[in-house]
Amino acid sequence: MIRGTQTRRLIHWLGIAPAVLTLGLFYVIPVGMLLSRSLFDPDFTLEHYERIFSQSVYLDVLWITFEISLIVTALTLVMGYALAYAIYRASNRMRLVLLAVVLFPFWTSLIVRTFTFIILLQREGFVNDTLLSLGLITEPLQMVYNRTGVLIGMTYMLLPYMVLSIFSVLDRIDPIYQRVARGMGASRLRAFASTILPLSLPGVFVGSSLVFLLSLGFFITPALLGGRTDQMIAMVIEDQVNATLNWGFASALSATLLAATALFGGLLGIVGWMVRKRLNLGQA
Amino acid sequence: MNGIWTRAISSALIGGLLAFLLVPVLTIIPMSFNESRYLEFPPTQFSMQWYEEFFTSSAWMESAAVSLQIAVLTSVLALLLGVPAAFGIARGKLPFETFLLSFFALPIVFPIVVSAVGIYYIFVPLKLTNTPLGLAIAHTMLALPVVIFPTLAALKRFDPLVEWQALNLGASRLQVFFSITLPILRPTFITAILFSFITSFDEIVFAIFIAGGSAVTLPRRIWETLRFEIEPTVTVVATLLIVISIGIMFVTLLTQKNLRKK
Repeated sequence: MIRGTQTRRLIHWLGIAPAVLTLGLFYVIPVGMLLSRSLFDPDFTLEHYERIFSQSVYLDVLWITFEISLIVTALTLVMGYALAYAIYRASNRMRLVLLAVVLFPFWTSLIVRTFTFIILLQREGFVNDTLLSLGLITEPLQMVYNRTGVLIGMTYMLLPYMVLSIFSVLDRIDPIYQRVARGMGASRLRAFASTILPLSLPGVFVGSSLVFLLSLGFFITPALLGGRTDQMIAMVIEDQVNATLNWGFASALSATLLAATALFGGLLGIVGWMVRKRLNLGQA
Repeated sequence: MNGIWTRAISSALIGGLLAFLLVPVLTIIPMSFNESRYLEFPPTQFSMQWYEEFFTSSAWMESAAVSLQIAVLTSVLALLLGVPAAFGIARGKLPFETFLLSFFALPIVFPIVVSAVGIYYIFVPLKLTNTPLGLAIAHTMLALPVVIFPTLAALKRFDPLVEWQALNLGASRLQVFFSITLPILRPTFITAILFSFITSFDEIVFAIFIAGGSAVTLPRRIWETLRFEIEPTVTVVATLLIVISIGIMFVTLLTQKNLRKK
């Protein structure tokens, strides 16, 4: 029995429908409703947004979020590029091992990963003990419940994203370029800088954008590893929802986070497009 | 000369980075066997007391049951919703396929806090807050992309010729689905179920916002313990979560390997 095109179409639509409806009903619409609550609480009001942008507390939070995200991006970039390059140069078998290690953090719950850092970085923790016994420091370092802890923790969480982004681009670079440059007499550094580096920039860009945008929304890691001056916007949202039950304000904060993510995402997208056009790189 | 030193230093650096990636998670496991009441590494004395504490604690056991319940429910729902959707997109050649794909990718790209608050917001009037069902529904939203995208990829690689031949030989569509399509896609389905399960089991943000009261999952209970009073039992829970997550990953890898070796 060959069904008519109409019936086949219908069946395909029926297959998609439940997923679309559920996602729409329990995800898209709620978020939409929430965001509208920021402006209509229940009558039209700008007080929530006013509060965010006039009170220094919230402006500080926005700035801290931005600052931390920027630093974490820089840290993951340096470490991530080194790892991605190491994987690129490794043999096929080593590559599998290295990639498994890089993906290892993904295999465990976010909260478990964050919690291990509390233990390792605390004053009487392993890192301090080792540094003390090696004589590198005389007093234990404060590495958790402060900015240091947040930066270490978030870098850890986001490193795999950066490594994978850069590696996926590096993987497509033919090693012959580097070899030719060396063959023509270039030093190791020069060969790298003139062949691999420029070609890897799209990966660097994608990775950095991804890490930055993801950091903006971070909440668990800064909440557990940070101190009072490390409040990120997602933490304030959680507080407003769970402690203060201020929906209007919480949704205004959420909208701000969303807008910041979309804004930076859009800007980065445009910059990336422009750079690609200028450098004339073929890939889309 | 120069070469040897740079190689040594770069190997050391890379080794350091790899240790950075592995160590945090690995240190928790020996710590769960530590006797001390304080969280210390390296562990000093061997003891299973915290395991005993965990398995006899009604609070932790209840959370384990809740986590399990919700994860199973999530996997089932995600599979039931996601597989037909993937089939519909793969076979349908629909006009706004890209839009649909972006739509289904939303849970991954959207800041999770915003989604959590949004879902919580609608759950309050629906009275789904603090219920396992509510959290399962929320988790299913996260698990949908995890089911849809791999299934879609597998379907794109799937050669429909086998199905047509079976149809030609007189099999009904249902027979074709169960005896041909399903077995070929089995590794993908196994992966989808396992990934959905782990997505739900490990999930923390939705669990914090949407659940509470009686529906406290394991990750959520860890969060509360860390927030208020750290107890060594947390290392046991963490170890168990690690073992389960990694175990599932390995099972997934194994099912894939089987397919390739043939």
